[in-house]
Amino acid sequence: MRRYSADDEMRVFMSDAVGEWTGAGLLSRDQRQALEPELSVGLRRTGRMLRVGLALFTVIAGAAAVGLVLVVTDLSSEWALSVVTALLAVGALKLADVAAVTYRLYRFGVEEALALGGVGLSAFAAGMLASALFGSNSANTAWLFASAAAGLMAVGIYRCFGFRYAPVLAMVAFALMPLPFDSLTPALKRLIGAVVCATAFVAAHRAGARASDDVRMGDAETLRSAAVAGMYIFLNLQLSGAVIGGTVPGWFRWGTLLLAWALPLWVVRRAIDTREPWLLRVGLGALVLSLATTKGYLGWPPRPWDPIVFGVVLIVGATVLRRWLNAGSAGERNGVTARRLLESDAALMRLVSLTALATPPENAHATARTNEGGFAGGRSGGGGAEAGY
Amino acid sequence: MRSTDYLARWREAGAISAPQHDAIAALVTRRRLSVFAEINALLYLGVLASVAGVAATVRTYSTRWGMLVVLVPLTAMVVGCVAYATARSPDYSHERIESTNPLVDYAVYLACLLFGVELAYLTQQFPALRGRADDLLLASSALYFVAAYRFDNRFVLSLAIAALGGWFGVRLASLGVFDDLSHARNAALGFAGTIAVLGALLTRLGVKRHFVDAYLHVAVNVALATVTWGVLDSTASRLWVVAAVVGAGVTIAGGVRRRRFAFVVYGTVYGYIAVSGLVLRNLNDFEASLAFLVVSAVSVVVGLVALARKVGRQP
Repeated sequence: MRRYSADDEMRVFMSDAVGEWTGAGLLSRDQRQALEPELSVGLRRTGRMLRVGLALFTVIAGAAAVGLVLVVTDLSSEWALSVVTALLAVGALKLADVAAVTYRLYRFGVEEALALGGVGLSAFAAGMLASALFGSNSANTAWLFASAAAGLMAVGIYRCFGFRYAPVLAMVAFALMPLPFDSLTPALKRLIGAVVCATAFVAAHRAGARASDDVRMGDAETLRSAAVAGMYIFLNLQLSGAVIGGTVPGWFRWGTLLLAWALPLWVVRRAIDTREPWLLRVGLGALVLSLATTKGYLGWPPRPWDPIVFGVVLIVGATVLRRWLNAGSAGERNGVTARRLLESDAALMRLVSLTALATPPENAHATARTNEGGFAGGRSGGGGAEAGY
Repeated sequence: MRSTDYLARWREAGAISAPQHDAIAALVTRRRLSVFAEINALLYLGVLASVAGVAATVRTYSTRWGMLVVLVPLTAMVVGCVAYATARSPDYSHERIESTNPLVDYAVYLACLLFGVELAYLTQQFPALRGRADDLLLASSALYFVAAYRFDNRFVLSLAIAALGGWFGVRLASLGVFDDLSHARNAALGFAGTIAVLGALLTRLGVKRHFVDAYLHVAVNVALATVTWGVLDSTASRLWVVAAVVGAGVTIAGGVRRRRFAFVVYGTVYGYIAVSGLVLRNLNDFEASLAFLVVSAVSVVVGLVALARKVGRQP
């Protein structure tokens, strides 16, 4: 069923890894050139940026084509819309299949956008089918059908194309299924979502244990990390409150606060044991979010200096961790190091540094305010939080 | 087959040495794990959060606390951070200086951001400075540029470029140029041109050549966004269409020639938006508009596929 052989995918994986090891100075360029023939495959690949561009324009073409079909056919009945969008979904998936099998495109953007478009159209078709079957007022049932279809189709495209993000998409679709049902309490919706994510975690754990190559193992690790992130988001009331809303019983509130700390701590511990970088990132990210949201949990009023305390805790935490690791033998403790080992980490930091463009210095804001003539702050007495200087 | 199997085979075949095998195998099996990115992320978030908190606290309590209570700790922190960074960083070099201590990088960034808060406070407190706020912004941008080059710090370089962009906006707003959108577009192009010339000049002089990407990404995006904005403005001159097509073409050609495919994508996306906007404005029929989008987007996909096949796989 898989459109690419495990051997080809593993060669692609190794080719990327050899590039990374060469960038880190672990292999010479000559060695890389000597190894490349063994790792060459008949798959067509492209770089990250062109992949994104190709996916973007495929989505534009696909969306316009779907719109054109719907406008030309001028359909109004839910049955007809369901049938036509289902046919369009089949068409998109078939085109993705042709791109992968005939043209041997691999992570090229085109086949990915087509397959994901097929998932979206299937979900729409299923939602329309539910509306046709149960009446147009049954929006919740339509959502249920659409989410289930999206989840199942995402599993399907993972089995066909092996897109690493497809199982994550499936998990999200299944976890969001109960969301619109008013008959379910907010606490129950959160629990269902968390249980779906926990199930995905267990499934990924088993799949990882069975994996016979690094590609499948990487897929399992990605799903495991996403499952933990999903569980955390569902259980942290401060994060998911805006989406799920509603009030929850006191025991649930305090229970989730406990879990909002216990889960990340357990995840970080486990990630260090199993040496999973993405799981570690999710765990650390969740810890940071718990730190940021606990005050809201406790109902304490926000203060202007809260971010200072938060920031100082992060800086001190990172500094202590770095110093502790560097003080170990050869700058490592149990194999964990604060040093950069691969070029990809430096590339990531270069990318992140560009985000500093979005945070101009405070005097730029203040100068803009000055030119608008708005700096009357503080004059009303008491130094209100909305005032200027 | 796993990575370790490949590595074992390559070692047996003599393609890699035993020490190379051991070093790579330690990474593959994750006996060695780097938390470099995680530590950097925590420091970056910590700096941003701290400065946001300082700015909010100063804004809220500045009148109650008085000038000394605000300025003394802020100045002490700025001086302390700069002193720490100067003491711990290597001497200046035109070439790239690999950072061995991320704390130095973030100390410089923190100092620059806190200096911005301090300047903002002073500007608001002293009426004499208030009228020169834009000049101070330009001066602070220059200072950030100096700090970015002295400490080889990309975060501070981005800050300097953002401050310069802020100065362009503020300065031109005060001259009333934004009352006319075409003047605003000219101003944005002026900013993009300044950044591009500055980046090119410093690169040509051999000063921190690795910074050129930051300049180019900003300059190209601002320039292409501006000319695209001109095309989409129905009241604007037709010259914007020519500028958009030429700009997108030059960006794509430059990206292909230098194998920097981010620029190919920038040129394609902005060029597509400009041309599509122009065509769709003149198409009154909805079905024809959709058909145009299908045909044009498919054409772009075919073009990009052909390009990807021609230039091979590049990051």
